[in-house]
Amino acid sequence: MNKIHVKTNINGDQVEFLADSRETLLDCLRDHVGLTGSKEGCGTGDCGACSCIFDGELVSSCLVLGVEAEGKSIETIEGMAGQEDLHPLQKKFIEMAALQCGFCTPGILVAAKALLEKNNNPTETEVRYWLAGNLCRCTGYDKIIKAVMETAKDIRETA
Amino acid sequence: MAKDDITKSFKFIGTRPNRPDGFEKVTGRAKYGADISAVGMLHGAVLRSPYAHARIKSINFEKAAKLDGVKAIITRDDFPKDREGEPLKLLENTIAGEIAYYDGHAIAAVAATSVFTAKEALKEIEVEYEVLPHVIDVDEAMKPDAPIVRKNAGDFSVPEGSSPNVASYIEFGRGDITNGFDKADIVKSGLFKTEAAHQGYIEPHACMAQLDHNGQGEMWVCTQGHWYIRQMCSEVLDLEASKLCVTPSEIGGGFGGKTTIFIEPLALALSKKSGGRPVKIVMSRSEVLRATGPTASASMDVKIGMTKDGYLTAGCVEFRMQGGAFGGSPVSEALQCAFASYNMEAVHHIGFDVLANRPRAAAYRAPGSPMAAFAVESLIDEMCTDLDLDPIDVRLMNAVAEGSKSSYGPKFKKIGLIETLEATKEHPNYSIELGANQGRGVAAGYWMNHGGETSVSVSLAEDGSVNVSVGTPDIGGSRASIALMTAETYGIPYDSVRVNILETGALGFNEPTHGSRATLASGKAVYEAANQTIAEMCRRVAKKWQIDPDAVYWENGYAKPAGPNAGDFTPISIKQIASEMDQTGGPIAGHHESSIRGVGHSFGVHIADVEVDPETGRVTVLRYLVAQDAGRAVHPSYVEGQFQGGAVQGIGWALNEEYVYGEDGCLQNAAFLDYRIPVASDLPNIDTIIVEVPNPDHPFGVRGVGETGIAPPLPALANAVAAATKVRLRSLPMSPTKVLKALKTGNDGC
Amino acid sequence: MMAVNVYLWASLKKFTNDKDILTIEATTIGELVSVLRRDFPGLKPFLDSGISFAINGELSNPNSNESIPDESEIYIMQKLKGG
Repeated sequence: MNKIHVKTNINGDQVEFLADSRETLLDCLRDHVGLTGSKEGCGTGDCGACSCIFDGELVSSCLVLGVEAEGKSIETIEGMAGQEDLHPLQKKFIEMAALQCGFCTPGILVAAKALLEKNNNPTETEVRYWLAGNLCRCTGYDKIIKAVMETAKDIRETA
Repeated sequence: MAKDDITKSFKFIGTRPNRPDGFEKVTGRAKYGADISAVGMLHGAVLRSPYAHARIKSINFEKAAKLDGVKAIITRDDFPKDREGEPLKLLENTIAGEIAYYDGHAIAAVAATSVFTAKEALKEIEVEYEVLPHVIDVDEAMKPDAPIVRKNAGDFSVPEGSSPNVASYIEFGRGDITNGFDKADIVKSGLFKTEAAHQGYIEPHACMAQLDHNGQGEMWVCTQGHWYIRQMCSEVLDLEASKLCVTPSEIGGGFGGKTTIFIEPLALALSKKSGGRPVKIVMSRSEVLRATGPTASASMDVKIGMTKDGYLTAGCVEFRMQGGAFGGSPVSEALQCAFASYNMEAVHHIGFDVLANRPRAAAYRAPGSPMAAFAVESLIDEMCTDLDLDPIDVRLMNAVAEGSKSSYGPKFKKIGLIETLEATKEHPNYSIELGANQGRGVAAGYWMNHGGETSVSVSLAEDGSVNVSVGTPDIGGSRASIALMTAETYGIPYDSVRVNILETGALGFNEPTHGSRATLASGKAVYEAANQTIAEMCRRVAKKWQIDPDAVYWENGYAKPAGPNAGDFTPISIKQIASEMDQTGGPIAGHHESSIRGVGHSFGVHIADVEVDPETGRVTVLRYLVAQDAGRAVHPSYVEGQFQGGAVQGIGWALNEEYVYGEDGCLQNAAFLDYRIPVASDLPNIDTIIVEVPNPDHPFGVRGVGETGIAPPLPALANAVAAATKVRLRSLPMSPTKVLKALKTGNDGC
Repeated sequence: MMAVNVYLWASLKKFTNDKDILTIEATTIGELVSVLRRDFPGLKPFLDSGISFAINGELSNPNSNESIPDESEIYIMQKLKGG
């Protein structure tokens, strides 16, 4: 077993860990760094529960190797809230009951934040297609889509 | 408040506060099944059968055991030999004995110091199989010469001469069927088929277990019901139940699929064999699809008689449902739901629970009801079309109401089907004009709901806030609904209530969060327990005022003198009573344990509008309406969420989802890419109407809302597709291939 | 003793002399089940398999101590499950 020393930046903190070369970034986040907010629903990039931002790109962290994190910058659900307050999407999800079991919620929030940073005025169709890679089995997506649209509206109004 | 005094003047019930566990769940802090680790923990992995049906001739794990880091390997030899009845079936499904009964059936398990080592060890285990003939399809399994799944599997109910794969038989009905059909102006019959669908929770099964040689152990597990896990693991492993302490994690969806055991006894046995080290097992998605869940597949004959005005005169069904290698398809529930929405003088039901070489069916949201609804509601729709009758009017003419004798016997108490039908008829969706290739479908659905064994406690904190302890895991907002009912009972702010879900040692036996029972049953029990503490607070205040306890009453968080005769006292708040508890007799707590009575049946009606692409056969859902009787919506947002989530699971079952087997009997689509559940871009908004016909037997009128919503989408979409294309599909899913074939040939898919 | 009407599913008639409605003298669910076991031994596997009752329209888990009002309508069904 040859472990590889990986130095990376996660949610603004310098982090080092030893990765087996077969481990995914998701494994490393969960098992070596203790950040279990990113979830594994499939391990094959189909469900989006492990969505993270990898050097500015929205990725399924189960499809990225842990060793690829070397020298990169990673954002996970744990880095989404500010010191004082939740991110507007997090607040809106709670207010509008956009989660039931909550398992897909971290991935959906990370993906939705990535969308709103690119486009703060998406159509409903754009939101639905952007989030088509994030499976939710509880909500039927209705309240999720509405919460993202409402947050976008709030962001536009306060901008 | 008196039980029968159900008014709309609630202070908290019916409001939409933030759920108490929202913060943890949007920040990634909530701990689910796989999120826990322990010092010295080992990782478990499971070897699974690559064959649909095979005799296990030998298992050799010598090489595997020699791998560095492998700490324990278990096979069926490590489990008790004397189990029988249901515990034996649970054990057989947990780990195969002499025979592997389905693709994915567990054969052996390994615990090692890393996941990679455990998986490498699996590859080194040598299993010699003798492949046996298999059967997958329910109608094939019913044939007299079908491969026998398990010998002598039929129970006392099976009629002589049945196929050896029939595990049980049910027949019931009433009225004169022949006379009923004679009274009809048209009699129509049809064969309908549905394929197995998986619950599809996004969180795979996961647990961490520890078991010592003295039989004492503990477990952390994602489950709908940890007492069920304790009971089943104890039965399978021959443990004393109270020595096993099971703590539920947060749960990432269940829908019935997490009410039984799969990996849990394996983790316990591995822990025991490795000297009591904690063992974590996390299933992959492929394992979830191959070896857990799904629901049954069904083949259903239906015959219905109707007068030309639309009155239903008689109905017969024969349902054949395949529930895997150990039986247990929800055929009796399906039969009970089949005609439950309608007043019919003559009904007759026959059901067969059939074995096949597939994973053991687990409960899935309103088990059996969706298949029954597909068959019956589709045929009624065909008859409405033939007679040019409005489908909602026909359902209104025949709808059951208070006092109606249900199709399965007992009389209904107060129910809200008529109100629900009227609400859908008035909704704007029902009159929107449709374009080319578009169609509208209507269907009703039913679930009886369930009370079940329940144990809760309530305690007053020293500052007057309240702790509620329940045993029903929060799968979709039940902490919020239980906190609302608690706040309502005391008349204290919602934020002053904290609802905790406790482990098995802390309360009496609780059935799982299943049967739409968490808000209904735990809520009713918490109401009783809270009232005990209110009575105690009134007693303590009465002592202080030196008056009779009956002269003190409780209102809006205060103990007050009951009328002028009681004396002129200033009301005392819960805060003050709590702060003085230590001086007035010690802690104040209440508890309630019972099999909860007073279940309220819930009916739903859905309207689906679809467009069918004549070139590709793709069905697009344009708009969708769910109306359902909630009795009382405690937190309306989460009631809507149940309606919407149920509807979308039904839409998936109707349009995309199915278990696809190869000639070899192996599952060919064991991944989310191929077992395709609906994604956001497949769907429109799901409109909802919450109908409230309060359940007279619940202190707040609650009926239970979780399950009914999955039944109507199957027929509603089939009816909409038929309206759009003039071609009737009687087989699900209505995948593009099947729809295209139907458009070209008129084939109904069966 | 009080008499109650017990409705059984038709597929159980083969154990009850071809009757699916039985009139039984019992004041509690426990008594009722004892009488069924005594008079119709063929019902044993059914009664052992997990059953629930509907007493005058109300569905419930079996509770042998539960009293039954006179002239009640009782349906015996398979134990209820849910998803």
